[in-house]
Amino acid sequence: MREASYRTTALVGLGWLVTVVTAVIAGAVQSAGEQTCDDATSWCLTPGEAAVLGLALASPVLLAMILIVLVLAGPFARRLPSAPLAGTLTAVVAVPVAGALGGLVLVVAR
Amino acid sequence: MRRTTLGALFFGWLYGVPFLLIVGLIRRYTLPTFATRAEAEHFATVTDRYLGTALGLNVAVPVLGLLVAVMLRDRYWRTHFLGALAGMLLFLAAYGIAATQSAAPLIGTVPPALEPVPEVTVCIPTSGGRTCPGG
Repeated sequence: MREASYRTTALVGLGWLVTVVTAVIAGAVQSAGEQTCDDATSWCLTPGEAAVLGLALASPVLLAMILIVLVLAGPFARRLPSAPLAGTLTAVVAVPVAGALGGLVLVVAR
Repeated sequence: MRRTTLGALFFGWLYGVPFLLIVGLIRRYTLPTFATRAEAEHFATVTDRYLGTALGLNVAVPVLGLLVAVMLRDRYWRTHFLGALAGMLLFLAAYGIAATQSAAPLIGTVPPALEPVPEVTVCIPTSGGRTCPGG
């Protein structure tokens, strides 16, 4: 069985991250409406500010996801003949792996 | 040349369909409130377009790509578009799950608007039915 190329597999996996993140941002920004903070009495975030804040909070998770995809792409590329398939599976498996790592961090840091 | 065309078709499907699906589903699930009904209807139309395009491309691209790959006798892309047919079913399943989780239909739901429903101000008495105040 032919091996998929590591580079293409990793790129396909990273492409999934980019696609999902941009789609979530696009959907959230588009459905945020036109809320302004002009008449706010207490603290207030416009949809744009909320998007930036959310991205800042999510950035460590995204960084971890990128690293996990780069690591997992190796074994997946070695076992599968097709780079799109291997990269997609890498991205799918990276989600529970990131969740487990995040849980571990929370348990250890407590 | 034809390999890059088929590749563009394949990756356009692989990333384009989930992108449109995610944007469309977020738009549908958040249901923001609009000032006027016209705005709400416009928002609903665009959301329907996102979801409809996602579903249409999801079915059309793998089938088209498979046909072209078979015609060109391209083994690599034939295998990949066969895989895309399986992926198409997964995307459809994801859409189906989203549809069963949603209270309102995914396509054709108009978000709420603050504009009041126009009131009927003229009273027309019907014989044997309602009577009008003062008349």
